[in-house]
Amino acid sequence: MSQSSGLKYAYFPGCSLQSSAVDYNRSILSTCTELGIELRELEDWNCCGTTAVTSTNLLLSYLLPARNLALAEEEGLDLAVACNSCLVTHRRVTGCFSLDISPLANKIRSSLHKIGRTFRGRVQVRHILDILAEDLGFEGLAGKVKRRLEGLKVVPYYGCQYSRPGAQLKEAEMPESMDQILDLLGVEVKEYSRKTKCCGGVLMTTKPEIAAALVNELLEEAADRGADAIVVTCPLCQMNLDIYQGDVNARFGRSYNLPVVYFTQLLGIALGVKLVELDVHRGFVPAEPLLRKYA
Amino acid sequence: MAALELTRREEFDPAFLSLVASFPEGAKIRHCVQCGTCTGSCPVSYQMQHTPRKIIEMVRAGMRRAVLTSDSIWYCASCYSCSVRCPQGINLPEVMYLLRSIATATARDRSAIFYHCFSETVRRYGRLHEPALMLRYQLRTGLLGLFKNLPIGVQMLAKGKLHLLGRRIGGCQEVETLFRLAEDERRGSTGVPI
Ligand code: SF4
Ligand code: SF4
Repeated sequence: MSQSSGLKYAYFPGCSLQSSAVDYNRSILSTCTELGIELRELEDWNCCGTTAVTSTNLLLSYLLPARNLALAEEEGLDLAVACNSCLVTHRRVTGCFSLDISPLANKIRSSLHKIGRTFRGRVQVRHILDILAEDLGFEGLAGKVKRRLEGLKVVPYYGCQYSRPGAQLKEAEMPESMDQILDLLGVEVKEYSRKTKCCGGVLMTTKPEIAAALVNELLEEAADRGADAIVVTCPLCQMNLDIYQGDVNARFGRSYNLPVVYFTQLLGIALGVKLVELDVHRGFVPAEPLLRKYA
Repeated sequence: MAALELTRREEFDPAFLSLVASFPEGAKIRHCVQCGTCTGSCPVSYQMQHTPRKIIEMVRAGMRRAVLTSDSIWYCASCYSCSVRCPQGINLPEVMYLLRSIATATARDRSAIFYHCFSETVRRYGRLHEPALMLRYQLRTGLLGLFKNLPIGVQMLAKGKLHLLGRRIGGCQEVETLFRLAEDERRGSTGVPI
């Protein structure tokens, strides 16, 4: 590990990062190691429940992430999350605790008590992107860039939940943090009006015709803008855009061939991390031919 | 409003609005001005039986059955496009969650079945285990889907993006207790999800 940045978090990878997004996980870990950010995986974390549990049992949708927050509080650390949906799910809980009197917070407290846990609302939930852009900061990052990714053209796709709910309208619809990081790396960041448009999320499984139409729009604009790749911050977006790209091509008679990479993979390359440590070979649409020359 | 005219009087149940309004995010729908910004911002409203704006008005009118059996509540992708633009600060995806939680026991929509299978998988393992989830889901929605998804599954396996064996976390008992507590609450005096 290089010199410590003094930043330390309890890390919640979330379920996707152990399966469909192992590449995201690996690139986060190698990049943060390189930057001296300590991510200590939360011991014995559980699934946050995501929209599945919010759609079946409301109280449970607060209790599952609350257990993770209690575990982080026991460590005395803020919680670093990688997935946009995990971000929203955990923040729904911390949101109840920031209000003075919330009957829901009391209910969460008493339920946690029954499994021998406590949560007092002293944990902040931070997306890896915000940790890099705000906690470490652009200056901290700029000093570490070893290789500039000149000539690489991308569109930044944040997905719908990264900047919502809660943010002011402009930030909620047109965030800038990832654009700025990519700028620092020398990447050519194209305008992209669909930065925070929905990818359909889990509808890709339950109502594929709808989600595929949304993904088709996202791919179409990316191609129209002349992007070589789409850069994402969320495992579910990556899955819908990459793993289902062939399916979308078949449905709509298109021939997109756009690699969908995580911002941490590009950052890692610029920091001098080896390609294999960033797992760039796992995408369905191969990203290696595009990225090899920078490594 | 054609839907309202066509609905028989006995289908208006004022207790439905009171139920929804007993939740903080539900109470806010009283302030909806029916501007339609939500519908206009929604990426999936064009497919919904009733648009998001209309669902709100139907809840306010007490159209319990029509709301809970509509596909609209299951189409919402929780993208929050509507909520960041709503002039009245209404958090529509939370209202949708609430309506789903009320409807869930009888819902037959594929999304409802998927969410239920997902929850049960988490209950067993403490985390998501995709093969177990997909198997549960396909068994309930038709095995044809399993064959359709097989090529993607095989490719994910080859890319190291899928693990066949699930592992239960150490805290499974804690997770099970949380499930029970939440279920007891639902069955409790109010008969509502929280
Ligand atoms: S945007 Fe808000 S106020 Fe306007 S119709 Fe939708 S919920 Fe009502
Ligand atoms: S959160 Fe749901 S209702 Fe609102 S815009 Fe997104 S899909 Fe439509």
